[in-house]
Amino acid sequence: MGLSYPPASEYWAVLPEMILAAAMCIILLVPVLPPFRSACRRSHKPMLIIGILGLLGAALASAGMLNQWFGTELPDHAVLGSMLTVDRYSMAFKIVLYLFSMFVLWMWGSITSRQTRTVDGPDYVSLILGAVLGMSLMASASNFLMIFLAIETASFPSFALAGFHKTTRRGSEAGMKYVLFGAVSSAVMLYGLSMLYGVCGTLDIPTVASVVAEQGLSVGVIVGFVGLLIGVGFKLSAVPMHFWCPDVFEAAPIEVTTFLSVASKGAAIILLGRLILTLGFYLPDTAEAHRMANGIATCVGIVGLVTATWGNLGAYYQENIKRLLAYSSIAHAGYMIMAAGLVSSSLGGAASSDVAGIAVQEPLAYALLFYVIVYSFMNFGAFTIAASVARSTGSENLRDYAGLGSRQPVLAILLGCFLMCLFGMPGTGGFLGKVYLGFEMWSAGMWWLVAGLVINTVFSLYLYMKPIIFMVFTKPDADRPAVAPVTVVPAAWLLMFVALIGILATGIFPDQVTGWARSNAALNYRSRPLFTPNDNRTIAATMMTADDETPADDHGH
Amino acid sequence: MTTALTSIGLSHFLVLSAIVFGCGLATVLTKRNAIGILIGVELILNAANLNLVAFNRFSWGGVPVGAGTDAVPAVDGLMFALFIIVLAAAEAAIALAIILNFYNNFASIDVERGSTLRG
Repeated sequence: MGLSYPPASEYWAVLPEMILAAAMCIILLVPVLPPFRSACRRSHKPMLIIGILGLLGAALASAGMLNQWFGTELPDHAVLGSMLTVDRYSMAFKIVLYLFSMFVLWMWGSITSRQTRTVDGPDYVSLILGAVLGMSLMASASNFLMIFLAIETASFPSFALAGFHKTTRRGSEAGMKYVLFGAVSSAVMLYGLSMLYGVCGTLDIPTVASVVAEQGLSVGVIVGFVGLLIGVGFKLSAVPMHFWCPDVFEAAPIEVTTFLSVASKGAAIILLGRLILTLGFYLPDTAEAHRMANGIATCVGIVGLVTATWGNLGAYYQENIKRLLAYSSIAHAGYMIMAAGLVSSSLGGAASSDVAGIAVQEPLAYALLFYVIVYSFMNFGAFTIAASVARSTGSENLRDYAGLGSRQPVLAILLGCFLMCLFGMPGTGGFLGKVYLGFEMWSAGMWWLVAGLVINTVFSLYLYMKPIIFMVFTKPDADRPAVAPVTVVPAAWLLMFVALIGILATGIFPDQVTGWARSNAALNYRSRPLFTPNDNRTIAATMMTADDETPADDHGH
Repeated sequence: MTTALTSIGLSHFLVLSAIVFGCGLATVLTKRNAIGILIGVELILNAANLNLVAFNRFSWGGVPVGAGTDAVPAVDGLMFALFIIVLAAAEAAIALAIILNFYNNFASIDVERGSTLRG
């Protein structure tokens, strides 16, 4: 009947995801095959190699799709039953995500894999790959069903990863807090989505956006948006869904913390950006639409501002470096949320461009993409150093960083660089990222968001100076047990070097990275929605039997 | 009989699902037992399911006007509800595993006991 399968060419668009899924299967199968069994029992190496190759392959596949190495263009419409929009915006983020996750696996293999039993190695790597798969689907979801599936695919492995140190009290507590918060927020999100479906009659995001543009905000739409914001806000640890974040980040293995702080928040912000930009694209360029855009931008902006402020203030009393960086990641998510709500930056796009599937360059997408790139480098660097110190001293307490400036000067200087980049020191990528975000807010007329961004940046100086003060000016406490000297494995130096190159390349010589991000900040909107809902109102009445006399106007709209 | 059945419309289902949602949210916010919280989550999920299925039945389940007799009726809401059921099962599996692990460490599934991480 009406069943049709997507044409084979559409599967090219999900090549990276297919490679990831294949790598997951291989990782789960190899350890039980007799020739490899003993090798997998002895060390993490085989799993690590497969995982890194899988992520590298996925990154290459994304780059290939982006640059047409396979002779296939990126699809100009949403693929696979219009579930996924595979455009330059999502592909660019996927490359960053895959490479970042690859480095996280490398960091695990070279610095912290001693803490994981070798029998757990396959589970561990496949959980990380599964979470990456979910996050890359989040980046290109164009249907609310897909958003739900992608968020859950990203969340479930993260729950297990957060509680991976399952014999410790802290580990199991972190897993518990994470899974309960996640379950509640995704359930509330689903309730919101069901209301959105009730109002719009479809789950397709461009169609929903065009319906909302046509009918304005009704109660159902507002409930839907709030639910959606709660679901995405949980991934972003936006206030008031942030309670899990410091606890999980403190108790999870350090490479999981690194992974979650960048990858999960990055994917969620890319998703939020796509939702907001799509909504703006379908809004007409009228005064009423501007009012609505301003309302949404104000609500999302306030959430972001409160989140950033909360992150920066909460970090004041922290003595654990992972917890400190967790609060810092709440603050950075807050900065990105502040900008991600600016509906007006793509306002009126549908009216001005009438070609279906046209790729539209969006400055806001550029700002978000650039910030995610910078943030992944600087956070990775800081966490690599924290992991190296924890490997040698067994401590994550800032007091044990005392005197690091004289014991390991190079390490201390590097940590200082990464922290200053996180603060947003001019000359580093962190500064430029904030400038681009602030510029977007300014050009949307949200001067109070810019003021909030600047004030928060000033607040955050203390938080990032704290480890530096400990490293340089504090003498080791006499009453604390002396810590072991910090030794750094060669691979860790290499990883730090990569991160350093990253923050220099985005801060001092940014042309390459900004050019790349700018050219890839292009979203595909399907300019023509699947249907206009008014045409589709032959209600279930047609499906009913004739003697079932439900009046056709009995559906509350 | 027929009149009694057909007089039940969309709004009845929406009110019921709102009540179920409220019960679920209240459970989540007041229970200290981890499994109790999970039950609250299930209530919220089923409120969403009820919404989806009711909207599909009463509002959006038809075929487009003027479509031929072989047109397939829209089942978006039903599909979404099916996916929610499956994912809820997966979520319960993970959550119960983590709760069991919590029990092994704390000999309790009271979430207030988990207070090692503070600040």
